[in-house]
Amino acid sequence: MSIASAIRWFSRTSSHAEPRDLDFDVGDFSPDIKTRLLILQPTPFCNIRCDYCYLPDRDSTARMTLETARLAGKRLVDDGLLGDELTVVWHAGEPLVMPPNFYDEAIPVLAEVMGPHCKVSHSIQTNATLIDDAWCDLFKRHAIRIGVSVDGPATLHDRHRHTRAGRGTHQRVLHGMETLREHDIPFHAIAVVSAETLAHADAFCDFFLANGVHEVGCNFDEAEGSNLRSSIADKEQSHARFIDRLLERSIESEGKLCFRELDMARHLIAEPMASYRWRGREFPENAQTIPFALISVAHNGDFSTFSPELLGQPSLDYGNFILGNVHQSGFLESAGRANFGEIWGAIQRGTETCAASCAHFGFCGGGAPANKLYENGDLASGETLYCRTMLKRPFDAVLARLEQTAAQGKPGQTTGVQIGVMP
Amino acid sequence: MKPIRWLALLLIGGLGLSGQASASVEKPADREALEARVLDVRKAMRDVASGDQSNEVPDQLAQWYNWPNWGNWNNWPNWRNWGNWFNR
Repeated sequence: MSIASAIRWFSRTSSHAEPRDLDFDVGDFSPDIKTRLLILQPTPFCNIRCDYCYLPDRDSTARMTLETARLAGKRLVDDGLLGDELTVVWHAGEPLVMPPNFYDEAIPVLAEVMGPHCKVSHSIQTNATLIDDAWCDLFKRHAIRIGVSVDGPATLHDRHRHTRAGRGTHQRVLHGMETLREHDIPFHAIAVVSAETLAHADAFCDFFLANGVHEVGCNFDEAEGSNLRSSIADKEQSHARFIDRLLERSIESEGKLCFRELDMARHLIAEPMASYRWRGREFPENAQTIPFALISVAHNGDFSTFSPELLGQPSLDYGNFILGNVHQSGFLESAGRANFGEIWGAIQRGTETCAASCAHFGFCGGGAPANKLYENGDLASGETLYCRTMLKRPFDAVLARLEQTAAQGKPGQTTGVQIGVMP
Repeated sequence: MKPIRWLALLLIGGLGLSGQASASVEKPADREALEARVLDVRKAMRDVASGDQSNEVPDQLAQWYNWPNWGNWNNWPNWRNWGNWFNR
């Protein structure tokens, strides 16, 4: 355990001398809990070395077996956790360091186990440095959705995303993206936005427009795992300006450039959020706070739920967040373990904290437990930098823009506050 | 946070965790205000989407209002779940 995690452990246990666990019963939830996302980590290994990475074992070349993948699917079936649709995401480490034939075998295995019960689709998030014609053929063969991790132009990307020898990876990523385009494979991008990116919003947007990337998710640099501090922690005004600029550029692009956070905000404003009931009380849906809505399975079959980043992160009091192993037990069976009750209890208290204190709770449902732990030292805490950067500020910017625009059509009205009296 | 909110939080948390259903969670005042703003905008968006042009929406933003026909957020796989881990 690192010194930092020891400090967090001490801090947590000091401030909560008597951790309270919480009994779990699937009957407490309505509608029934269904797993929407199965995250399979075929290997912890990554072929590059980004300086903001949170993964603890990215030097390990261990690999998932087909039997582990099969059991992960089978446990979902046996536990009755499958709904109409399930997305399988191959992630953690770099999924393309596995040989293509692993997926050629694993995807049919999962289809055989789960296919009769639900529609299964597959996604891969990749650093794109290993994409070639063979990979593109595989993506097409299995209709795999692709996300490319790229932080914008080389001046921004190469600051953080390095080869193991310390060189920038941007050129190799561009080559991978070009190969995808040559094969007519659509893809979106996920960009980590660090402090220096905040001052270059236009260059950031120009890069994606120039490279034909229409959908971009911004992941604002987070303090998680081995990445101890966010570079944007003290740059919140710059973040607000960045969001405003992205919004303007997105609108100007007339559909050619969409940002996930802004689209999510617009959707949350346009449509009531789905909700669920727990012990008779209603909560907005948040897949990171509902047990087993997301399940992460490591290469060796260890599994966890709630925030996917938690699996395997060092934690004395939560047992490294490992709830069980698919080779030994089912997912729901793990709910009887002591560490599950403690994690679930703390996360539910965190949801209560958000419900009692946050204006945006109705559009979020309780934040991200992993960020609460790493930023505040407590799963049961409330607001985080993650909340402000990923949800609250984009939400407020989109709402204000919609109000402003609505008011523009009314003579004499210049602010959105008048929208409530429109005919 | 104001002490009264901490008190409310403790009370709510205690009732909830003991399994005794609490009727509702008290909303912070700023949440009620925010939700009221959203309801107003939602109504305006639907008016425009349904063809009520009493609000003249600038062309450039028409797509934003006419959200069912706009863009392709549906293509984000499980978009609600994509918060914060596909991130590096």
